[in-house]
Amino acid sequence: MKIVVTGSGVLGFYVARKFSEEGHDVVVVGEDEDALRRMQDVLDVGAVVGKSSTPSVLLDAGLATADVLVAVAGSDEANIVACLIAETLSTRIVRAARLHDPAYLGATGIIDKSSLSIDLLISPEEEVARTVVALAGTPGASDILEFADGRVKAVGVEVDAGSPMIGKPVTGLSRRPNEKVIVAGVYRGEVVSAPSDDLLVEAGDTLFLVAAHDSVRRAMTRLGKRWARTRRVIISGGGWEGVAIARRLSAAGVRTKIVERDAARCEELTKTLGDTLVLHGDGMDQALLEDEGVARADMFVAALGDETDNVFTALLAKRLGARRVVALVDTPAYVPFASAIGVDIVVSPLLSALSPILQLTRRGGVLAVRTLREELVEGIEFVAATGAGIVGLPLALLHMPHGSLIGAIVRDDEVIIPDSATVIQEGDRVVLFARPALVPRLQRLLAAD
Amino acid sequence: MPALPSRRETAGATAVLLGPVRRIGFLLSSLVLGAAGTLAIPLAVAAYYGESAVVEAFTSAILIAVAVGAPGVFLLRTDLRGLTRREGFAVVALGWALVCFVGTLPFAFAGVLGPVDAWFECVSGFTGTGSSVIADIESLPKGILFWRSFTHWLGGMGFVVLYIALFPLLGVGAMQLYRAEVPGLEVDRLRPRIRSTARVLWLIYLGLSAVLTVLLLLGGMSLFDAVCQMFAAIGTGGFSTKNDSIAGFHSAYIEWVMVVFMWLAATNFSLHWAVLTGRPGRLLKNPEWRFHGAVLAGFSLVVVLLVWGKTDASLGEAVRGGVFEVVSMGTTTGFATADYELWPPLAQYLIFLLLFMGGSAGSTAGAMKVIRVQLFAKQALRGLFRTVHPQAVAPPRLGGRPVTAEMLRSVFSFISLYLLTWLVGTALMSLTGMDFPTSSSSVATAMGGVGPGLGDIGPTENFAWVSPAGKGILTFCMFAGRLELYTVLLLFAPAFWRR
Repeated sequence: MKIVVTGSGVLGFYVARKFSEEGHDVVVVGEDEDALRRMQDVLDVGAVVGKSSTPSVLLDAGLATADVLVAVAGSDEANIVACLIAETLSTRIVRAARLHDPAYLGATGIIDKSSLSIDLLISPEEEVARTVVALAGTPGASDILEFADGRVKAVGVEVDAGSPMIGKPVTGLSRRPNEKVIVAGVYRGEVVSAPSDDLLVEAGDTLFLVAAHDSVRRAMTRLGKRWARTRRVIISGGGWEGVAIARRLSAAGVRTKIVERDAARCEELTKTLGDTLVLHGDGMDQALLEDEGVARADMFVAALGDETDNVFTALLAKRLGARRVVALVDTPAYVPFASAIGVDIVVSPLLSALSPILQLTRRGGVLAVRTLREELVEGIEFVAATGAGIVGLPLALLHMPHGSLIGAIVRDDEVIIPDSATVIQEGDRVVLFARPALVPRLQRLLAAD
Repeated sequence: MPALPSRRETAGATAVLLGPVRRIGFLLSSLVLGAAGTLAIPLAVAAYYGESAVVEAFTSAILIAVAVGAPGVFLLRTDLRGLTRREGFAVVALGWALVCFVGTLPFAFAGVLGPVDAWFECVSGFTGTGSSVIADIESLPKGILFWRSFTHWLGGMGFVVLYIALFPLLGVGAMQLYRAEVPGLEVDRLRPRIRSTARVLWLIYLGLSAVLTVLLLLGGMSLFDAVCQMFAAIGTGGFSTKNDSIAGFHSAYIEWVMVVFMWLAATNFSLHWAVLTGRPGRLLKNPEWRFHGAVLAGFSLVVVLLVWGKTDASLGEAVRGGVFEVVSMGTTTGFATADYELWPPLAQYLIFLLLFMGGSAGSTAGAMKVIRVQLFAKQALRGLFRTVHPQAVAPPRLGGRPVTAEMLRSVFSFISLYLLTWLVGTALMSLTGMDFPTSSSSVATAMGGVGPGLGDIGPTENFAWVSPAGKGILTFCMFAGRLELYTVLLLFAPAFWRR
């Protein structure tokens, strides 16, 4: 496929990298010539220097013959204009745009994505907020992905030193009747290993579980995690992300406080966030955090503008007694050591935004694509189509490539955790996990022929 | 702003150490194996003409190349996507040397040339130079003549580019190789992917070659001659199959066809692509192409007038010989139809200047490239302007667009390095006992990939008499010029080897 990406920022880079590695023809449009040159040093992509909302620039980039436009430039307006231009140029082009401002997202009902000719809205803030809320609803989890409208969850759990599972085979967790859980992978020393009977659980491992929604709690308990509901949350930083998180948490009935440095911004927040207590102050200020009861907070979210600030603020909150701390971090290389030095949960707005974009090039019945941990694992949810290679055979005979796993099947509202004898039927919603490198190969297995 | 991720995957210490060696070793081995494959074509030609000694020479060369290349290709096979920029330069520089070494073997084995002369002839061929050590070309076996011309064609567009076009293994690594082999200020991508770009370039190259061959056949050349002259013209090389070069065909038609195609070969191939994809405006508006055309036209006019006025040539002869020589030298081809050493001094001086300019970036021509000369001149004049308006913010413009300071810097450092290399090379050549016109023009013609020079290496003379040391220096200059200095000179820079 031919893909035009507007925006030479970090998200633009990741989108270009992902698509280029999957073998698509990618052209990146951006104003920062240096950034584009650096990008071409490491990626096999074309580049066009210019404003991404200028028709002639987009024509130069080959938009007229492109299959997909991904508009992720810094400005919402530039992204909207790029989509409008794409619509006038070609009818078949699929348009995705990143928008920051919720006013465009249909909240007011005046405009929606179709009136802006956008097929896929990318809102990193909303994606992050959705993830944080899901994590708040799953105590003990460090990562979470949701599939099939939340019926299937992929959860990362770090094994504490006192866990009763230590020294037992990792597969032990899966072999319980009436519990719909499977260990999909073990993350140790920055690599994910496939589970096996010889692999014993160690303290500090992160287990990736795939579970039916109602089985998560029991699995957590058996791993020695206390299932304590999240009631009080403090958010440091009132930017787009902080606000989106606060809005969703309050809506879920969680008592939420948000700390923001800028007085004028605080005024604004009080208007948009009805149920959230808005505090004016420095989110990194120890005294303020103590006064506002960080010690009793079930969750602390560091959502300041700077990712290193986020890591340190989260660590501070942890030391002051917050039960779980979340830091928003974009640089993938920072994620492993942010976890290693004590941040419970690291969420990347960047990767959150990337996941829905990946869906654009997945053919045939793919409902969702989510990536876990610096793209170590990709989770794909799809509908098993008539005649697809995956249908009708026991899983043991499918010869799934090493490094891929069918985590769950949803059939008529029932979640099935498959074993080697399970047979996938037409119309099943299948949740598949794989290393990203395997995805092109797996696509052939999924496609109907 | 988060940092971009490192391209290097986490790997063990041995992998880090052996990775580059493996990658470079694999690529070099496969280039040598590829060279063995191309030798099969002249082998077939020699077999067709029943030249058994030559067939033997090619067969031995192929066997040696296979023996050298095959183990590496099978044993060192590895993931090439991690190829770094530094490794790319190393592969291209060493790859050129190795492929030229393989190409030297048939000349030496067939007994037509000694080892040094064979090496000189082969490097001169691959780099598109066309300087020859052979006086009586017509006496050579056909297989050898064919191979001699074929090297021009392989080296013209670049065999590494061909490699990229044919083999999908490289991924981003392709970019590193492409950058090191393809001349020009920046990488001109015709398609988003380097591999598709390389394919398009080779398709245009093949297309131009086919058209020229047909036109030469229509001009009455034999198929063998037509293909060989085509190789030399499209690769802007200059080897002919006649002792008198193109003049040996005694045809005005052939000369004018050659003028047009030498000029097309020295045009940026992305402009050919623009015309082919229905955007001829790009060609007509291209400042570099226009400047090159203007220089060729202007020089031709002056040369024609000088030759007509100051020698006893008729106007017709002056136009035919003058234009051909200016275009031949101004595209770094180096075919000869007239002996410019008999022309008035100013005409000779203009020919000397052309040794430095070369053709457009992104073409098969060598030397500094028109765009650099153009920017250099513009910036020099800008200096004058600035003395009058010291506060002016007026960067030089190219085709209406302001030129970035970064680009100007790179042009200046390239031209300085080019001239420095020329000065040092000239000094070394003088040491071998050459007079000044010969030494200075021999280095300039070798670096520019032109072919003939002035003094004792004029269009009617050859390089056979040059000392072995001199031949060594000149072949180095040919490599340096063809690969635009950095790729070759980097190998001798301490910073390149430091970790």
